[in-house]
Amino acid sequence: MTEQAPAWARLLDLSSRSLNRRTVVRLGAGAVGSLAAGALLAACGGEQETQRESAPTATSVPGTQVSPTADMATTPATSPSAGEPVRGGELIYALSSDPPNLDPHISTGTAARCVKLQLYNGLLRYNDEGELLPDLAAEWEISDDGLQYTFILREGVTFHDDTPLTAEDVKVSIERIQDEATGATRKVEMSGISEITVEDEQTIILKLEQPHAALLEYFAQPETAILSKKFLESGGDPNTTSVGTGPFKLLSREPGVRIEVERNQQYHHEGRPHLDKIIFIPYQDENTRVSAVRGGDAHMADYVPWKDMQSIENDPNLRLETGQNSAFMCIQYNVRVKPFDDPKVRVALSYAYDRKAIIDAAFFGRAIEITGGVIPPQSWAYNEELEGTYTYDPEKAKQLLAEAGYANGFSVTLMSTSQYGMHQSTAQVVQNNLQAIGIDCKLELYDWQTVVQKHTKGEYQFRIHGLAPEILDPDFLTNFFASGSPHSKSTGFSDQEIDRLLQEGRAAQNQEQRKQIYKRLEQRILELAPWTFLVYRQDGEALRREVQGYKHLPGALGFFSGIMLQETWLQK
Amino acid sequence: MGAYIIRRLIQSALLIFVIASLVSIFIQLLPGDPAYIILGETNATPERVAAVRRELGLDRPLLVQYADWLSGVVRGDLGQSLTSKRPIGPDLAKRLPRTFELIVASMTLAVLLGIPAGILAAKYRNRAPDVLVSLFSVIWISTPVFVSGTLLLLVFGVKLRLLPATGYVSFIDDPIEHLKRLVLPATSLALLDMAVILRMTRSSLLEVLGEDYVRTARAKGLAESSVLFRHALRNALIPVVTIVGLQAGTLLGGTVLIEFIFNWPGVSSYLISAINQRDYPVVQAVVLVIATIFVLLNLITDLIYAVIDPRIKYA
Repeated sequence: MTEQAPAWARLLDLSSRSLNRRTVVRLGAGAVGSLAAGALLAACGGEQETQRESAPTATSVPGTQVSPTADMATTPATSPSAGEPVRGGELIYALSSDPPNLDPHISTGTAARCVKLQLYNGLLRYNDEGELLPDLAAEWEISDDGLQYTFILREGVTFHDDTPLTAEDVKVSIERIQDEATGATRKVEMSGISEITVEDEQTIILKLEQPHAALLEYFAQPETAILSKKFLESGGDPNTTSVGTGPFKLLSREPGVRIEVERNQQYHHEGRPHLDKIIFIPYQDENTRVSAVRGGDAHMADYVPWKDMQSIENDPNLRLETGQNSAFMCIQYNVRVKPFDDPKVRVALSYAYDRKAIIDAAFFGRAIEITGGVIPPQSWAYNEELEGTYTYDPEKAKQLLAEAGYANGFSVTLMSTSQYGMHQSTAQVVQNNLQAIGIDCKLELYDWQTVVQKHTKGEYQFRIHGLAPEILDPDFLTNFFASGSPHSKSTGFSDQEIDRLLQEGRAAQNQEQRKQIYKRLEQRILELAPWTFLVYRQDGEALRREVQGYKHLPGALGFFSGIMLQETWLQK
Repeated sequence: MGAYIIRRLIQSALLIFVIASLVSIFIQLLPGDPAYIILGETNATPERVAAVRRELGLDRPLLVQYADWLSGVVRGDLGQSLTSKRPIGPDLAKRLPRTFELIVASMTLAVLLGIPAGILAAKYRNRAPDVLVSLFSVIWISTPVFVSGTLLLLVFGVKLRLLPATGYVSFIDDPIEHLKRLVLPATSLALLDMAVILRMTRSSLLEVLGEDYVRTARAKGLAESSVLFRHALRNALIPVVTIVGLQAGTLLGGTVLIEFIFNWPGVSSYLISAINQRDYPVVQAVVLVIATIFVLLNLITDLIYAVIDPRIKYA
């Protein structure tokens, strides 16, 4: 936190460059905007839009036994860092929202996940390229029919309370997720496990009713973290306290103020973590969060607002860690209401949106267009041939609309939120685009909680949404498009062909075969256009220069970047 | 006086009761539902939402929930947070002193700067000091706290690095750091009040200085300082005290913005995050506490009149 220029020079710099009238007005307006919303009892919590993951190379290959030679600790690539890691130091992390609970099995957004990744481990974990590597499980084996999973646990792992990890802990943890009363995020996925057998202290066997090609991936997520049986049975509540196996132990927590974690001396990855302590401080206001890093009150901050990314890159004291995410913006149509019940209308409108304008207005250039399917380019199942299916072509949109019987347009209301800038800006561009082709489009901007509720109840015509695949495997499409999934319940969309392809894709054992299935699936989705995909956005963290070893993971792994904190160190 | 105080106390209690009741009922009429926050959007199937609402007791009729809450409050139990599942009382008790500290520090700053500046302006009416002081007061009165707060944060916290920009360190951990982090939020909050107090002091003092008894005091040859401070100022301060009392309430409102901008973990930021998460019991508890403070501040202001101005008698 050194700054060489004398105070007066910095002040001059301030007056001449960054502090023009617009900056001040915008900052002020931002603060009062968010607050006014709060004061009117009409705001919402954290960045809890469902931000999860998707992307490359991960699929379970049945019949393969994986015995790792390289330990996890050696795998994550080191980021642009100077010299050897230094042990010790306290890192202050300005988080975009306060984790409402610490229960790893209940997901409440990326900020909370970042904290949970420090406290817990799963059976497996991702490396920074999306490959599944051993974590608490040292090796695993999947039977040829894909119905039996055998995990052999790593030896010598202890929980933070010094009890050794055994297969019983794994059993209890999976059963806890399956239990309706827990309200676990991965209940549906874990419920596919019909039988859990503890072979011996270190071996556990899971039996499935039906093969599930993407199941293994869920074991790399903190939402299936392994909790201590002893802790749970003695009445411990993971919501408020924590006994995990992770690189850090929970030291103290005051909700809304700070969470402190300290080094786990017995961590099973040798030499990790580098830091003695991490202090997470929630910053509700995005401008304050950025100021905290600029002013040196925090070493790093997550969810840098897009408007600030450029100035952070220009600041010699700061660094922006960013990468192409597979989080995307889209439009969801409520297919129960006219005229969106007609696929022809949805297809026509898919040509009406100016994705470039959205990239500029909402993401300050830091996003890329989606003109084809939504399986991201980093994935093995990516369909390059579908690129260019929907481009910006208002004339074609008009013509298709006329063919669908709406030559004179219609009146509709678009739902979005004023709480997140990128949602609002996207909605405004969309509104303009539709007006340009003769559609009378009204905008309804609510606070986030209201949007979530209206979405769940299906009380809207069409809406802007920001989503991300929940796993790297293309099976993530099931949660979006299968009949009966929460999104389909909201939009009223269901299609037998899509359901069938989703089933096939999940049950098929061969990657090439699966690739073909997902191609047909994406074609079908684009033909029916229940959603229009708009752009993939780039998320980023702001870091002070002295923070080394941290990296924003690419693609869908971006939401797992918290895993890099065990590799992070502070340059003296 | 005793009877008056008792009557005012009863009135105040009634007022607080009405505020608390209205908030309790209306907060639940807002769209949005804590069950969705607890479950997360993708998990929020109607069955699960219903189950969570049942578990939280939100499926009961509003009046039943309200009565339940009220009986808790009467027994000194503010309930527990819907999202963090922690009892609200202790968390609130931790945060309340921080907000108080902010208010007291701003108030002190505003009074210590505002009254002398007001006296100066009145004494040198229409001359350079007056013009200068008045100019500044006009600027600060018309600058909302979120603008002055953001400006101070940018200039002193981010650019000059003279003071920490954001955050909070407990006094016990590090008293010096604690006070350093108090300076910017307290100053941002104090500016508006300082300007108001200054203007009130100036105009009130000017009015009093024109009174006959001041002329008499001067005529009998008292030193100017004695006239100003012993005779004029004492009377001139009555309206100022009123303003200070009323402003204390405004300050409480100002903390909502200032705690947000500077990430100060007081009751106001607690309130905002509770509203965002639709954490009804926390909203109710914080509003109850803030309303109580506000009403008590007004009561105290009224009573202080009596002390300063012997002519005011309460029946």
